[in-house]
This record gives sequence, C-alpha cells and structure tokens, in this order.
Amino acid sequence: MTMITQAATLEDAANALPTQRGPFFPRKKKRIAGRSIAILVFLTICALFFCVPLYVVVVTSFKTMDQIREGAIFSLPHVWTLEAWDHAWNKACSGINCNGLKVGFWNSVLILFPSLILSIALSIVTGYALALWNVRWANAFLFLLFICAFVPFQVIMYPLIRITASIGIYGTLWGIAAVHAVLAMPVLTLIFRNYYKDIPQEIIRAAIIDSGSFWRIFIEIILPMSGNILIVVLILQITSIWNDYLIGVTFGGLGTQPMTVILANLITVSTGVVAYNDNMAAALLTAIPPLVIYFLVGKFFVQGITAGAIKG
Amino acid sequence: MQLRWSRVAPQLALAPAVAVTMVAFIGAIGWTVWLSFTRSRRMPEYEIDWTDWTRQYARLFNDGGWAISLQNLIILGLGSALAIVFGFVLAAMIDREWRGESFFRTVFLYPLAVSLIVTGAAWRWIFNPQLGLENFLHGLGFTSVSFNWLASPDTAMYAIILASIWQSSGFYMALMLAGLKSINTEIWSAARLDGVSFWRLYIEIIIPMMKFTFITCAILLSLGVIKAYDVVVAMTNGGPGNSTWVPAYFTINALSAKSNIGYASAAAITMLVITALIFLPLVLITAWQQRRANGGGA
Amino acid sequence: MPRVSFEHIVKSFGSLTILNDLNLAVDDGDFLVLLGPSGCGKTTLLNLLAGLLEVSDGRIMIGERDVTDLDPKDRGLAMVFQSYALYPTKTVYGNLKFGLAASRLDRQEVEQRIATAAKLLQIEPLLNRKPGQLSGGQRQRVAIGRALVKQADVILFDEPLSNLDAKLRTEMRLEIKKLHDTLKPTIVYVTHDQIEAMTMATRIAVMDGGVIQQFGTPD
Repeated sequence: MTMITQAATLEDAANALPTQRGPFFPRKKKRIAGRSIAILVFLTICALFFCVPLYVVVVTSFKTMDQIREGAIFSLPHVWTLEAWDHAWNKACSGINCNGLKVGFWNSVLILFPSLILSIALSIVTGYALALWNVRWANAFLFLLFICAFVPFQVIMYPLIRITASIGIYGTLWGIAAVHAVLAMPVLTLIFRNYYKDIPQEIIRAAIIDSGSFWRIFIEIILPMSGNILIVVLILQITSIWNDYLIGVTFGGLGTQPMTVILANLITVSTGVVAYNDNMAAALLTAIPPLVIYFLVGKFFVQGITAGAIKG
Repeated sequence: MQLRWSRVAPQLALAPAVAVTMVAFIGAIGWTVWLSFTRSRRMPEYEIDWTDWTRQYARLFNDGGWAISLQNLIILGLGSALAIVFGFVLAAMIDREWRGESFFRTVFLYPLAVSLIVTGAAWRWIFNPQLGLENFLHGLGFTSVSFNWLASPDTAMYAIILASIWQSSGFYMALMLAGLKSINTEIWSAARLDGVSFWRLYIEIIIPMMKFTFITCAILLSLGVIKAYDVVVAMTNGGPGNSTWVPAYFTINALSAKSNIGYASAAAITMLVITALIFLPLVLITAWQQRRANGGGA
Repeated sequence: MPRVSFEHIVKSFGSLTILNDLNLAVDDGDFLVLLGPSGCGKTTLLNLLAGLLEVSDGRIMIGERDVTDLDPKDRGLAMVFQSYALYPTKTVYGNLKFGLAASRLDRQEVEQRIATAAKLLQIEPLLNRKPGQLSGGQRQRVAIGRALVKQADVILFDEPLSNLDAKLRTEMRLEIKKLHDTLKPTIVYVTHDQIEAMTMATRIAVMDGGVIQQFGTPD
C-alpha cells in the first residue's frame, strides 16, 4: 500500500520533541457538581430510612424495661444490658412453653439441613436433565413447573397437610423440611435449568462421546462446573427457609416450631405486660443468622434474589 | 446400547420431580377444587351436592370479611407499588453517581435478608403509641401528629404498606439497576450531545426502554401482595377487628380458626383465580415486549 | 484559523496517562481521520473533543471559542456513534427530532431540517419506523441524519462502519465522502481501518500509544 508521507510542519516537529510536563493551562479545581451533592444527600437520607428500624431494634434490645417506659425510642441505653437477650433466648414464652427462643433456633437449624439437601438434590438433577437431555415432553413439563411456581401456598395447603399426616411426618422437622423442598422445587429447577442451558453444546457432545452416561456426565463434568450457581441457590434457600413463617406455623408441632414462629407468638401476645426489650432481642436473634450471611457474601445474595425472581 | 440408556436415564431422573409435581401440585389443586364444591367442615366430605355445588363460593362473595380482604388486596397492591417507584428512583440515582454505590446498595438491600416477622416486629414497635415514634414526635413538640396507625381500622393498612415498602424497595432497586446497566452507554452519550434535559431523558428515553423491567417488577409485586401473610400476622394479626385482613390471611383463618375446609378451599381457589388473572396478561405482555426488544436495536 | 485545535492535551485516568501533550489542528472543511490500533488513544481524543470526557490539562478550541470547560451540548458538535445509539422507543422521525430538542428552533425549521436530511440520506420512507425494524445500513443513515439535522460545523464519527459487512462498508464510505463533498462540514473520524482512512480523508493522523506518529495527506 502507498506510504503516508510525512508533511511535517513546524508544529508537527514540535510534537516529536520531548515535552515538558504540565500544567500548560492551569485548570480550575474540579468541583463536585451540585447535582452530585444533591444525589448523595438524598441517598443518605434514604439510607437513614432503611437503617432507623434496625437501630431502634438494636437499641431497645439492650435497654431495661424501666428505661423503655420512659418512652424515648431513639435514645441510647443508659446501661447496656444483656438481660433481654438472655430472657428471650432462654425464657421467652410461645404459647404455654416458656423455653425461650433457643428451641426455635435449633429447630430452624435442624429444618435447614434436610430441606436444603432434598430441595437442591431434586432440583439440580431435574434442571440438568431438562436442560441438556432430549426428552420429548421436557418443554411441556417446564411450562408446568413455571405455572406451579406461581401457585399460592394456600391452594395446596390442606392436601399437603393430609399427605404429610398420612406419611406420619406431619408436625415433625422432616415434615417441615419436606414441604419446603416441594415448594421450592419449581423455582430452583428453573434456575438450574437456565444455568445449564448456557453451557456450550460442544462440551456436552464431547462429554457424551467420552463417557455417555447420564449420571457420569453429571457427576464428573456438570457438578464441578456448578459451583457458582450452587452458592447462589444455597444462599437463596437458606434465607428463604430460615425466614419462613407460614410453613413453620402450619406444619410445626409443639416442639418443632422454627424460630420465626416462636418470635411471632412472642410479639403477638396481648395479655399482660409486654416486654418490648425481650421482643426486640428476640427479633434480632432471629435476624442475625441471615444478616451475617448477607454481609459476608452479599454479592451472591443479590444474585440469588434476582435469580429467584427472573425465572422466566 | 448407549442410545437406549441415554433415553431412559433422563426420564428416570425426572421421575421424582414429575411425581412431586403431579401429586403435590396438580393433584393437590384438583383436591382443593373438589373440596371447594363440598360441604366439608372440620372433616372433609367428598360428596358434592349438585343442587348447590357453588354454595361455598356464594357464601364467600357475601362474606364481609372476604370483601374487606379483597379491598385490602388492592390497597396493599397500590401502596406497595410505591416500592417500585422508590426502587427506580434509588437505582437511577445510584447509576448516575458512582460514588458510594457499593455502600448504598448494601444498605438498601439488607431488609431482604430479614424475615417479614422481624420486619413486622420492628415496625410494630415503632408504631407503638405511648413509647414509639409518636411519643418521640410529641416530645419534639409536634403534639398534634398522630402516628398511631395500627390502632385505627382506617389507617392500620397504611402501616403495613409502609413496612412492605421498607422491606421490598431494595429488591426492586436491584432489578432496576440491572435494567439500567443494560442500556447501551452510547445512548447516554448521545443524549448529552443532544442536550436533552434530565427529566426528558428519563421520561422519554430511559423509562420506555425499561418497560420489560417495570413489567417484571409489577408481576413480582402482585404475586408478593397476593401471598402477603407474615407481615399481617406480625403487625396486626388481622386487626383491629378484621380491618387488615388479606385473602391469604382469610383463607388460613377459615381453615385453622373456623375449621371449615370447604370454605377455606373455596377461598384458596379464588386466590388462585385472582393470581391467574393478574399473572396471565402480565406474562403475555412481557413475552411480547421481549420479542419486540429482541427484534430491536442497540 | 483552524476550525478545531487541540493544544497541549493531557489525559490521564488515575496513574495511567493516555495522552501527553498532544497538539493537533484541523482546518475548516477538513476530513481528518484519526487512524490507529485499539488503545492508541484515538477514541479518547474524540471523546475529549465531544466533551464526554474532561481533559486533565490542555485546551480545546473550536473556531475562536475555548470549549474546554463547556458541556457537550454547548460545543456545537454532532456525533455518529459506533453502535448508532438510536433511541429504540422512538421512530426515525422522533430520533431526528429529539436531537434538536435543546435548540430553540420553531417547528417549521425543525421539520424542514428533518426533511432535507431525510432526502439527502434516502431515509424518507423509513421515517415512521422504529430502529428495531431497520437494517444495519439504514440505522447508520439515521444516525448520520441525526447528526446532520443539527447543522453543526463539526461532525464526529466514532468507528461508525465497524458493525457493517464489507459490501455495505464500501457503499457507506462513498456516501459519507459524498456528504462531505456536498455539505463541507469539518469532520473528525476515528477508525482502525487503513482503507477507510485512505479513501475518505483529506488529512490523516496516525496514532499509537497516545502519540501522533504521522500526520499528513493520504498520498
């Protein structure tokens, strides 16, 4: 190709010379635009709106009832005391049982494990099969799952009660766990299926040629690739199960109620003297585990929530 | 050999999910539909009196409590829609101003990590007339301000709406942010060169481009509103009286408190119909929008 | 007097300096092509001229005006983007009109400008369509049309042909060149394609590593 000849002018020659460092034209100090400040102020006020309830709960939980009766809800405790925390954990009354929130805590934990295993095991395999294998009725089933994800719990509540009762798990931790797994299956399956759909076809074809078997491909190839989505789903499910109330109250028996149910019983008591500091401590105790997860792995948390939402 | 195995294996693997779907969802729905036509009370009866098979539904539609529930459903829906607006505003601001983005997002989203019972407990405490916010405002000198919303049937619902907005705005903000970030950066540059005013840019360009996101939020909001139960229990337990009843609460109340299986089933099926009526057109619009958007340009 | 001049331009992002004391003058009616590989700084320079980025030091003049501290909309420029940046929810007509939103022209003037540009670019039959219904080449023309209706003295092009197939590219090259010959605006055009540079430019500035290596006419 023709060369570009250099038509050098004096100015261009100057370009080739090493230049002295600036500043050539003293620039105005860059002001933070007025608009930026307005935005930041507005956002900060909104942040306050979101933080105030948390602040109030924390502060109230460390006060004594005497100070609470003074009525200054935003004031810091005169004396920081763990009295309410201890009371809530050990002695709070849910109905006739006064064994505290700790019963609920352990129940919630015990519900979590089988429920996670059941729901994730079922959904991940189903999602894998639907995404990567040719089954003639796959699309119809997928559509059905999509519909099921929107069915209100109340519609299947009574039948589920009867079914769990007839299997003998009604009122047990396993019963609660099983119901959680059943209800989560549509959404989780859709999430896994969409994730696996994005795996390039070549990898699957290569895997089929290499080993061919449904289960081997799953265990040796797909599962190792699923780290990311598994974390997201785990966080989504843990939060959802821990914070659930409806399933817990419907399928929980006297000794098997999760923490949220005990908390609800606590705060809706209308007779007698209400111990607000106990209530707030109880609320905090119930909220701390998922909050810890949130602050530690917030990014996956957000992914989980939005993944659970945009399942279509 | 391989081909045959690979036909069977996936279908076998899908079998548990299919079974669960058929039994726990389809079968259960059918079961409830059947029950809604019967006279079941504390014990289920499976005989349908064909002379009066809609009696539960007739009773439902004449029930004042159900009417209140439906009303509250609409009020809650409209009020909670503010969470979408609020979420959009927050997202737009965070998108414009990159400073502190990560901090603000963390703050706005943490309510999602917390159970609705906890949220209800916190706000119930704030609304406490003698010791809560109202007392605080009176102490500051605003003695005529009334923040005792939970005590009056007229205002109790608004307290629940406020708590819902607090809980969910961050979620809609996250969805809106994702939507905003999908807008081609060159559109912003072109708008700067065109000298478009701030308002016109958002109203005429950005928001129309985000139609899909808004509709998705509307769908999720409606589903959330229909399911609303926990927050009502925690804040008012349906009270004062039955002024904060919502359909979900009504249905569960009919089953557990009134022990009327047939009635509860009818209420549940009506909830299902309402869900379908909201969900179907919105999903159709979404699918249509997405098809148009995929045919669209940068 | 040059139509556009860059004086002692320095641009840094944090500790990374992209442009260091760059000087360049563009004469009135010139078709200047900034040519170079990715990362050479040519798009940065274009964005500085447009006002989408702020200089770290230096001065930009358009005509006799010092525009260094002016907003993009006040610089009297128009720009054609790589992915056209058409507003997808507006029709072609709406897109062309929107660009004139800030200028206080009366309706008649606006309609006339749109009509002229539409005729010139042969997009009259497309005025009621939305960008999603147009082909790549058609969207290109609308993007150029949007720049033309502003009747700016300086038009900027940011690799506008890179999303088109080879045949369209050849056609559009000729069209853009023809536009330049007809309307005689000052054009600053960024590309990495040597052929584009050679066929369209009146002057070429070859850039690499943030420095103008060569500057001159295509021969």
